[in-house]
Amino acid sequence: MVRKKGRLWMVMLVIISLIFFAGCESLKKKRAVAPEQEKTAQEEKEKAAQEEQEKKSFEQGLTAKKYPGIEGEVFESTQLKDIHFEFDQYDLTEEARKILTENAKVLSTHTSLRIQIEGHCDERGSNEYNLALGERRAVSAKLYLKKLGVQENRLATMSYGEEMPADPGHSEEAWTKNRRCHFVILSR
Amino acid sequence: MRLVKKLSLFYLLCMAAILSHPDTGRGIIYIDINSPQIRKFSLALPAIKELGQLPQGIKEEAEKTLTQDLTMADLFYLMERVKQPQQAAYITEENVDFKTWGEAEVEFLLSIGLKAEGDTISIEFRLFDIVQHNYIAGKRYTGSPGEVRVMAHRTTDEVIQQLTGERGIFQTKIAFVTDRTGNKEIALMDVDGRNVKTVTQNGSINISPAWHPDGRSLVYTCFQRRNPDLYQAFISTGSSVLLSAVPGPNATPAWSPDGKGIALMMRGKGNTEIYLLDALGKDPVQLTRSWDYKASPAWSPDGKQIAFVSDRSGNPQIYILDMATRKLRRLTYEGGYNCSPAWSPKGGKIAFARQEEGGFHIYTIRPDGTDVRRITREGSNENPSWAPNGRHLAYASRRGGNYALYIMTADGGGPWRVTASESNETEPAWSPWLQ
Repeated sequence: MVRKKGRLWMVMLVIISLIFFAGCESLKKKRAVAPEQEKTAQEEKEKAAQEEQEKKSFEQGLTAKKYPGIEGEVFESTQLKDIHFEFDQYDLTEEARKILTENAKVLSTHTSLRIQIEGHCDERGSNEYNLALGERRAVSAKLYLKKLGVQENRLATMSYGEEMPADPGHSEEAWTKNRRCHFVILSR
Repeated sequence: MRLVKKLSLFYLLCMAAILSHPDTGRGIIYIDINSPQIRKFSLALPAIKELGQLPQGIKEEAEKTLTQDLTMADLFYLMERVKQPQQAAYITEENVDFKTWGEAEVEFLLSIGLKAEGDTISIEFRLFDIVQHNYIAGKRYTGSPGEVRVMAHRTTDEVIQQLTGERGIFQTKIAFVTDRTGNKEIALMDVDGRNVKTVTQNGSINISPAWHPDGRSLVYTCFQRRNPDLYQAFISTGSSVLLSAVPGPNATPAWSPDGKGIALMMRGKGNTEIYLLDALGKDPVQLTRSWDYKASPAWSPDGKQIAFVSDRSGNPQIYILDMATRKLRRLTYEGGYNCSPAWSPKGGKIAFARQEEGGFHIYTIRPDGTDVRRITREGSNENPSWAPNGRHLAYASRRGGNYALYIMTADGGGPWRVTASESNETEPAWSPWLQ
């Protein structure tokens, strides 16, 4: 009689253990799923926080700019840098291409930005033809940004010719500073 | 026999010389300014006689204006006062001493008198041909003391008309760009640099003034709406209206000689082209169509051609558009950078600026591309603008310091400096005839 009872207890023990272990397995699975879900949620949270941070630092890097004698206000960003040109040239140097690539990244991050590309010249040459040369420079920059994937309708161009120098001096140094495209934000 | 032959030949040559003398049919032409080798004639302007009590400084103003004008006319050797025979009396047709003046080698004598009558003053002049012992003409002008310079300018113009049969330019005006307020504005002045008047005062960037052929308004480009827009300023009212604000340049304008349209530079398809607007600045018609960038249209006086700048050859050169066929031909082949064409109102010459080592110089060229001549000598000289007589040119010149406006004649007379300030004066636009 005692032997039969012992066997029964063993079987029950095995069954209970099995049930127990099965439960543990599913518990394990449950625990394994949650961290992944948590991980994605975490990633998304981090990404959003990063975007929030980028937006914040972008906003902080913005200055409202009013040009004397010109209506309206635009914004300048420390992240949208000027490009410069050789004398009488409107084609892009390697340095200019690097800067435009960075500028394009900014534009693809902040997709609601609409910018104006200003074309400028140094004071040499005829001020009438310099209006055309300024146009050429602005168009050069625009076409490159377009090639890098920026939508054309976000890129306005304008030539100031030699009429708005960055440096009013008459030296080679001043002239170099003035041969540029400058980028301003019209809306965001 | 030989002597008879010689005398006959001499007689024939004299007759030929007399018969070939140019005569416009308007009277005697003393000085033919269309002759290629014009020489200057000796003219004596004795001290102006004050006939009665005149306000302080009037005589000096008149003297100064007349002397400046007569010099700038570039037709005369003005005889120095010290070399002139002394004349105590006021010279009129009754007492003029042709013999004495002739001995002093004077060809023309201009006697001026100033009278005061109540609130007004009068300038009267008498012009004598000393060589022919002739009284040519005399006139009197009356006005307020403040108008003494205007009357002196009228006197010079009348003298020039009498001697050459052509109008004088001394009652015309020159519009220009000045930065004396710190920014570029358009202003207006007399040919001697006096009587400066503001045309714009909007605090923005204002450039490229161009006159309407009726002399009552001018167009210019202004950046105040964050675009180079075209405006029209009316001289009498001092007001401006916006004519054309198409995105991109509405710049380097030029009224057609018949006043019916404005040629200008506007944005084309990824470049700049020459367009024609109507008299109200509307309905742009594209005149040129190619990939290069174009600027600075300048009409021929018959309105059938437009000279302009294009960079299709790699750098700026001057081309001519035929308005009927819309075909282009290249005008300038020498020099690496040619710009700012200005077509003489007489049609036979186009002035332009060429960039050279160290700066610009002004050249003239015939519309067929021949006879290229450099006419400036010193400094960096740009933006030539013809006077309506097709002889004088205004331009901006820089000689180490700032830009000032100068006048010269197309055959090398002058130059005479017209503006003298610390600011930059550029882009002169000589008015049409105003009277």
